[in-house]
Amino acid sequence: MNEVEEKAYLKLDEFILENTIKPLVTKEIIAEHKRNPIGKHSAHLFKILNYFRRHHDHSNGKDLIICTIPHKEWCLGEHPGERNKEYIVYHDEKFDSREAAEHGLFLKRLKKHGLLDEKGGNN
Amino acid sequence: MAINGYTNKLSVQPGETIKFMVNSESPKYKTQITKIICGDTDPGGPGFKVEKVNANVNKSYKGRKQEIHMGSYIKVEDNTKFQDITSFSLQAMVYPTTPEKGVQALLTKWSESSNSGYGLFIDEDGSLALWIGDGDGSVEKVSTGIPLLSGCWFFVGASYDAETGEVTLYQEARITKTNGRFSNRYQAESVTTYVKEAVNSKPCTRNDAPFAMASVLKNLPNGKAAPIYQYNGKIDRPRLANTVLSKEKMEEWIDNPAGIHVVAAWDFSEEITKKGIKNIQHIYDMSSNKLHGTAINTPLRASTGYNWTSEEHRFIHAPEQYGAIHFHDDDLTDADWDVDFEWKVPEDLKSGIYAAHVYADDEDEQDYIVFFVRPKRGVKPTAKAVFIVPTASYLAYANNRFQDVPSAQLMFGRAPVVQAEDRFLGKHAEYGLSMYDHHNDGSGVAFSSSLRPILNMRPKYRHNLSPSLWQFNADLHLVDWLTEKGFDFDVITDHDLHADGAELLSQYKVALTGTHPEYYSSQMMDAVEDFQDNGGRFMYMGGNAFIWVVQFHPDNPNIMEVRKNWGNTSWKALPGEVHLSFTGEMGSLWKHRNRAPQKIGGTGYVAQGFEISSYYRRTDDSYNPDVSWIFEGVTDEKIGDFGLVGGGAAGMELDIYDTEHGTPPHATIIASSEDHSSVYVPVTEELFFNIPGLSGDEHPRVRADMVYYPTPNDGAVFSASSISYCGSLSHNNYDNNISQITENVLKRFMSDVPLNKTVASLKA
Repeated sequence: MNEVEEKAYLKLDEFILENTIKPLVTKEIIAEHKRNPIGKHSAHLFKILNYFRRHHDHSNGKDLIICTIPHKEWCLGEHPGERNKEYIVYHDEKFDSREAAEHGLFLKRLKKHGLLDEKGGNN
Repeated sequence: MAINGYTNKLSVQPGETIKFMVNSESPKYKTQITKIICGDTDPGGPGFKVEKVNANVNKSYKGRKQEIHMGSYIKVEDNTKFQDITSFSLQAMVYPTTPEKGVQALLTKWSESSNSGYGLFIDEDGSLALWIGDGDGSVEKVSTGIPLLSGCWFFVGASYDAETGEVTLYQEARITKTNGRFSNRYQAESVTTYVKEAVNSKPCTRNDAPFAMASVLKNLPNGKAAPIYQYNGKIDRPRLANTVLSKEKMEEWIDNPAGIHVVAAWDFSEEITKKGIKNIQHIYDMSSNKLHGTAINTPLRASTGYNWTSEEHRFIHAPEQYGAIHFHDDDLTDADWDVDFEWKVPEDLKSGIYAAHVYADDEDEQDYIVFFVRPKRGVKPTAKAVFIVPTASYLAYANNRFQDVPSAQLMFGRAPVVQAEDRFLGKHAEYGLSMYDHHNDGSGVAFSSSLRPILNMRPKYRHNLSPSLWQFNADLHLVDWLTEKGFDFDVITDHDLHADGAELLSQYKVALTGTHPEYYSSQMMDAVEDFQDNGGRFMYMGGNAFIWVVQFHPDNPNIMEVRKNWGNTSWKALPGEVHLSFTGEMGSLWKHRNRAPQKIGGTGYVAQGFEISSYYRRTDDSYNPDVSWIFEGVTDEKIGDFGLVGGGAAGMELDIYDTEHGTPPHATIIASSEDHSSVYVPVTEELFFNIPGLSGDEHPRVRADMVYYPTPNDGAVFSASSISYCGSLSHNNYDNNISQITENVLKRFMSDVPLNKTVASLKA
C-alpha cells in the first residue's frame, strides 16, 4: 500500500473499530475468551478477534506469541516489520501455557485499542 | 542455534556416500548418526524417540563458522576482451523492482577492494549511474539524478569516450500497454532523461574482477566470492561495446547487435527449447567472443521481457519475448559450504529416516541434519509397505516464516507461536526463503533448495502454522505408529519417486503418503497413478495433496521450482510467468491441468483452518460389508475426537469427495468430519463467488471425507483426507479408533489375499 491507499484504508479501519468492533466488547465477551482462548468462539468474539489479528495488514508491530521454553513458557512478542531483525520478546509478559498467552494477548489488544479500562472491564 | 548443517542430497541408498556441511560457532562439536522415530516432544504424546547408529563418523570435529551469501547474479569469467576496453558502451533493458533500495549493480566489471573498473549501476538515489574507477582510489560516478520507476521497463545505456573523458547516459522508460505495472505514458516522460558529462578518471580494466550482472563480486578470505550491491529486478538484452555507440546504434543493438564493436551480447532466451530452458545456469553470449556466463543462485528465467505483448503466455512459444531474467537480492539455492564429513551408508542399513545429530559439548547447541535412506536400487525389498516421504513439500515449506505474513493470524485463528528456530530465521534472512514467502521486491519465491540448513525439517520442531506439528515432524507421527505397531516398511522420498517412477512403487503392495504431500511433479503424479492402475494399494494419510505443479532442476534435484496462481496461495506469478522454466510445462494447480487431486487420492482439498481440529463421524454407508471391515474393533461413532495436532483427527486442511473433480463414483465415504469452527473456510480454488455463509460452522462442504474405493487389478485407495489424522494415531498408547482403522486397512492392504471386490462387481 502506498500512502494514498494507506490513508483510505486506515480511515475505514478506524470507522470499523468504532462502529462494528467497539459495541461488541462486553464483560461477557472477555469472559468467553478467558474460558476458551483458542477454539470455537461466538460470532461477536470472532469478529473482534478478526479485527485484532488483521492488524491493519501490517507486519510491523504485529503481536506474536513466542515460546521461550518448550512446553513451559510463552511470552508475548512483536514483529519488527522487517527481515534480519530479531523478533521483540517481552519477557515480563510471560505465561505458563499457550492458551494463557492467547488470553494475555487478547487483553493486551483490548487495552491497545482503548477497549479495556483499568479495572479490567470494558469501556 | 549456533550449530546447523545440511547434506548434499536428501535421499541416499546403502553403499552411497552422503556429505555433511556444518556451521558451528563452537570450536568443537560431536556427531552421532541417529535413526529418527518420533520427533514430538509434547508431554502428552509418545515422546521423543531416536536410536543411535554405529558409524565411523561418530566422533568429535573441529567447528568452524560457515556463512551464507544470498542474491542471484551472473558471472562471466574475466577475459582480455573485458580488459582491452578503452572507450566503451554498456546497455540493457531493465525492469527494477526496488530502485529505492540503494546502490545496485546492473552490468559491472568492478573491484570493490581496489575501487576500480567500470559498471552500470543504480545509484543511492535510485537513478541510473556509470561508475569509473581508475585503481588509484579515484572513482567518478555520473548519474541521471532521476530515480527509475519500480515495475517499469527502461532502456538504459551508457558510453565512455576514452579520448575526451565524456560519459553519456540514457535512461528512457519503455512503457507499453502490457509489459509492466503501468500503461501510462505520463509516468514515462517524467523518468526519461539524458546526461552528458566529462570525467577525469580512466577505468582500470585489469582489476581481476569478473564481469558480473546484478551484483558485484567481493572476494572473501576463504577464496570464495560474495555478491554485493545485489539488484532486484529484471535485465533483458545486455550488451557491451568497445566503442562509443550513438543512441541510434544502441537502439539498433537492442535486437540486432552486430559489427566489430560487439564485445558481448547476451541472449537470455537462447537456452529456451520446446522442453523448457535446457541449461538454467548457462548464459549465452551470441557474439563471436563467446563470453558465456553462469547464473548463480537460480534467478528467475522464463520471465517476460520488455517486449512482452501478453498474447503468448508460454515462453517456449515466444522465446523472443522472454529474454529477461529476474534477479533477487535474497535468491538462494546453494549455501555453498565446505564439506565437514562424509559417510558411506552401510550396505545393511535399514531404509528409514536418519540424521546426523551434531552437538556442542553442552548439547544446548545442537542440530539434527536430516536425511533419508531409501532401499538399494536393484535389490528386491523385503518390506511390503513403503512410506513416500514428501520431500518436495518439505522443500516448499523450507524455512517458511508464516509469522511474517500479515494475514496469517486470521488464517490460523490464533497467533502463530514463534519457536527458537523461527527466531533464528528472523534474524538470519540469508538462510533463504520458502515457497510461501515473498522476495524483498515483493515477488513470489519460485525456487527452493535443500542445499542449506532447513530448520523446520527437524525433529522436535513445533511449526508456526500448526498448533503443534506440521510436515516433517508431523509425518514422524506415522513413522512412530508404523514402528510401534511392528510394521516392516521402507522409506522413499518424492525425489526417488520422481526419478524412478512407478517401477519403484510397484515393488510394494502398499504405498503410504505423509500428512501433507502437496507438491507433485508430473513424474510423481504418473508414478502414483500407474501404481494404482497396476493394482497398487494406496493409503493417502493426510490432506491437501497433489496440488501444486513442481519440477526439480534436471541436473540438481536439490532445487525445485513452482509457479503459483489461481489457488489458495501466498503469491501469484506475474502475468505470463506461470510456466515452469525447467520444463516449459504449465505450473500452478494440477487441477487446472485436469489432474485434480480427487483422481489420485479420491478426495481433494476443500477447506482449511489451523486453530483446532475436529472429528469424523461414521456414515451409514460404512456399515456396508464391502467396507465395514475397516471398522472392525471400532465401536465409536465419533472417530478421532482426540489427537496431538489441534486435538482431533480432522483438522488443519480438509479434503472432500467430489465426483466432478474425479472421485471414482464407486468410492464410499466411510466417515465425514463435522463441527468445524468458523476459522475453517473453503479454499479459493473451490470458490466461484466469495459469499457469506461458507465457513465451517455454516457450510456442509467444509468437511473431511474418509474414503475407500477399489482400483483395478485388486488395488484400492484409502483416504484419510485430513492433515491432522496421523496426530491421533498414538492416543491412548496407540489403542484408539484412528489407530484401529489405519491398522485394519494397512493389514488388509499388505495381505496377499485378494481384496475380493472389483469395480465391476461393485457396480453390479
